[in-house]
Amino acid sequence: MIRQPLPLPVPLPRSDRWLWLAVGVLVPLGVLMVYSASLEGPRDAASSSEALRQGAYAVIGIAAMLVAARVDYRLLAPFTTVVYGLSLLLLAAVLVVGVSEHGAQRWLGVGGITVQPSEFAKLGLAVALAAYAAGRQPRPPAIAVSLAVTALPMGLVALQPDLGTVIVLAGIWLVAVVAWGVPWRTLAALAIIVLALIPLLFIGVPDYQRERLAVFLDPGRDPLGSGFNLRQVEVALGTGGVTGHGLFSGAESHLDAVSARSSDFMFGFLGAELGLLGGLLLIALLAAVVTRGFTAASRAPDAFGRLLATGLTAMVLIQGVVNIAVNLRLLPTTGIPLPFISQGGSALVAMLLAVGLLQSVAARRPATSEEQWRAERWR
Amino acid sequence: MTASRLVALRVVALVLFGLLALQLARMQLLQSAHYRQLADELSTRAVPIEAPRGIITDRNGVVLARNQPEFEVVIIPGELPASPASRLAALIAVEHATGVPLAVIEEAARNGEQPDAFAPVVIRDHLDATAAIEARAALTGLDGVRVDAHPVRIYASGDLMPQILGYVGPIEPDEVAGYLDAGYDLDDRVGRTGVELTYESFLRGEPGKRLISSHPSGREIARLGDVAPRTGADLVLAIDIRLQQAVRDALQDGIAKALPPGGLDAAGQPAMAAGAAVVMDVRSGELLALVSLPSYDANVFAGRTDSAALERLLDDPAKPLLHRGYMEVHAPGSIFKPLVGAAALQEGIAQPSTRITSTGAITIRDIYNPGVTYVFRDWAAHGTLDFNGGMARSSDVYFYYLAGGYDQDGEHFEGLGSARVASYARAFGLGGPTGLDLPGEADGLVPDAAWKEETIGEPWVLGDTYTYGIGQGYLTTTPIQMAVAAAAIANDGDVLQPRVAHGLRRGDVVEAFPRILRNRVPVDEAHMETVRESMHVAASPGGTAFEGKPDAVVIGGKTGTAEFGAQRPDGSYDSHGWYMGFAPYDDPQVAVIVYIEHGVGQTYAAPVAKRILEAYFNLPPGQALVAR
Repeated sequence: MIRQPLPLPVPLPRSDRWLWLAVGVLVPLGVLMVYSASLEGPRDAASSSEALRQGAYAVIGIAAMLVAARVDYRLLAPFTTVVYGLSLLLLAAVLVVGVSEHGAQRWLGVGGITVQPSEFAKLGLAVALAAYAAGRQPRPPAIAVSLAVTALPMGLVALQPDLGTVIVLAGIWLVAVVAWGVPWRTLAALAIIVLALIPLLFIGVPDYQRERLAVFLDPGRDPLGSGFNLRQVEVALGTGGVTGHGLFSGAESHLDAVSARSSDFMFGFLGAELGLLGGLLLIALLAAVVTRGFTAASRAPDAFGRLLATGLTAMVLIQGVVNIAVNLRLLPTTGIPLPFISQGGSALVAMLLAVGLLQSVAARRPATSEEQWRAERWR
Repeated sequence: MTASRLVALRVVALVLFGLLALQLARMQLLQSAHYRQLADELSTRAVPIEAPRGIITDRNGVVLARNQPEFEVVIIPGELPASPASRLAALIAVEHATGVPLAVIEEAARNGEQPDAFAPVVIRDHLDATAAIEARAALTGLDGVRVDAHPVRIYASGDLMPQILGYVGPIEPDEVAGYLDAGYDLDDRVGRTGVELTYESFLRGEPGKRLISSHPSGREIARLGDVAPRTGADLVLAIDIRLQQAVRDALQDGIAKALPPGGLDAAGQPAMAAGAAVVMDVRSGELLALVSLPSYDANVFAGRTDSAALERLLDDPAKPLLHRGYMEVHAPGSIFKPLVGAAALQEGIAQPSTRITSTGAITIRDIYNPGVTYVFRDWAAHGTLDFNGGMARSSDVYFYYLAGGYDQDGEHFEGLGSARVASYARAFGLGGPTGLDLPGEADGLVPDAAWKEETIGEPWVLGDTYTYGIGQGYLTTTPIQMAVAAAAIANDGDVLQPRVAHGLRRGDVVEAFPRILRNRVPVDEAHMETVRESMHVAASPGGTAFEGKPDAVVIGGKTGTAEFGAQRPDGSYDSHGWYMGFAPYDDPQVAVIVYIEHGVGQTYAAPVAKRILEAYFNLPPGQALVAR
């Protein structure tokens, strides 16, 4: 009896080096920035515990990433329903037994730590959409089903409420169906329907979110809360110049009073401390992750891999672009963290897990002719 | 087809990141100067918000100290209108609203411009709520004119316990550094004396912060947000204000009756109508009443200070600011005898059956010069007495023997000696602060041979030990020390830390402070029982302390009359009157000390103690905030 060789473990040489490199810079940079943002005064050692916790999550995330990269993503295919179902279950659990903070119920307390299931719901959705679309043609009934698959976690997240994650989930769906090949005409029609529905959606939008939008349009309206934060971030970023105020200078800059500087306003904080050079480096690193993600998608050996890589890349793309755009005063405050950098264990672990899956897809690409040639020479 | 889709997505992604990079560069390169200017204009700073101070109540929740807002009209010179006409109009409006002449207001506005034009200048303070509302209505909309509110402490208990409550006032210059380290602001008001000082850290609460954005000059541009202050904890005193009132009334009457005829002391000076009384729970150390006379209104120091009244208070020869219960020391006289008795029993000097004869005095010869004799008088010729008799009749000769012994003319009786008297006195808590939770407690003095040698430069002699034995001579104590000692006799030897505070209340929860045992008196329970029994006999018909016994309760008691000052022409001295008691005799709950600056224990202090104990036992149950 011939045993089918298990696709595990696989050699990782074909995994994406540029992707490893980008993430390898991003993660330590994130822990460093969390440490800097947690300082309350010059040389305030007491607050390093937040950075330590972030570092611990980074270690967990990196371990998860390395495991995910080694495992063949195709092994995931039979379990996609389970993964998706589990993510929904966690989201539902949050609503029942979750921990409230700042008026939203987003966290699950497990032992001493808290988990934010919405971060993993993004992963679950990317996996589920890829699995569903992989074997199907992008016809309207199938598109409708994919919409339903997306709407379920979106609805649960909206109940928390967490508009930021709703936007990310919608974005993952959009990018996924574009890659699926849904005709532009259908997409245009859908876009018109969504635009028509926007005023209706506003009815269900919580007051604070409506207020955020109003404040975005007129920061003077609420100098106390988000408007204050926006203006402070803007001033700190603007005065940062080319080289910034310097690492660990946050406590002396205009950001000392900004409450969400380590999450929503992390990019502004980074830009203020590290200046234009630091900001551009970060944008370049995120762009690198996204480009290499799409590269992995285009070289994937099968449709599942292609769509999975696309969805995961979409996760990084949307969160990165929206967070930075908010900090650059191009979008209203949404509460989306900066990938790899912002404080928050669940987000970091989920991001690194996504990168691991991307690597897993990348590593299974067919060999290039040069690799083929080398492999044959050394056989 | 899907390949082209991925190309499209990649292009879109890169364009998005490119746009973000461009916007970042635009903000940090091109608009950098603009933002720097904005940053200079908008600096944020945090202004502290005072936390409401916790209130002070008695043990039943009766409010003794509370906060009341007081208002003041201020102008901020730097914010007044720039044009002379509207500036004048604003100042005239202030004149109308406050009644302060325009010239004074203009002067204040001018002076206020340096050094800090944005520091408020008070034009009129101590406005009540009605006046403040009127002023506010009249001054609304005027730049640079404000009606500010700040809390003032109001003491509802008036003159019942001003020294205990203390007051709240500005930080003294020499204490600034310490308070700043503790997170205070220069112009904060802090507890200055009394429990306001002792429990400052609990009463104070946690100040909040107001974040304001300000112009470089300091002018407030916008209020950005508040961090709400946390109210201080409420202080629940052990004092029962009803008992405090009854004790005060009883003491006041007793003092008035005891004043020497003509109101003059032996030196011809007006005699002080002063005294103190203590009611202490012998089980917990809590002070149910702690009265000092003369007294004053606690509100003298709060906000609405009447400087003439304050002046009078400071110059008053009767020193009303001094709490005679714990800040001043006096010879305890015969109420020290139970302590000597306990020591003698424990040391085997005396048994209950020890009989000593008082012929009205004992005479001893000078050890160096037998021709010279010293006479130590008793207050009466009591004949032969046993221990109970000695205590009940308060025979001085009996306690001369116990303290100093007698070794003359073939008679040999070994006494305790000064060292052992001192050692037991200290064990009962005399000679140092009791740890009372009030500032300014006096030490008192428990003398011994070494002390006399060092301080007076003379050797200790037998006569010193004799006067020691009856609580006179160099020995000085505070009434609170004697209350602690009486409680120790009543509770079989626990020297407790006395407290005027019962605990803290946060919301509806009262956390009681723990009972603190400072020392155990090394006297066996059986001997303590003997001492209590002798005090019971003293407080029974025929005993000197009987005048202190309420009709319905059996007690233990002891009177004291300590001579002081110059001798009168008739040979008598002025004396302090004391009473020490505990009740009920079987199962003691409270110890009582009465101290009258001019008086005799049996005649004047004892009836006061009787009224105090009657008030205590007839007190209706409180509102059950704190179980009694």
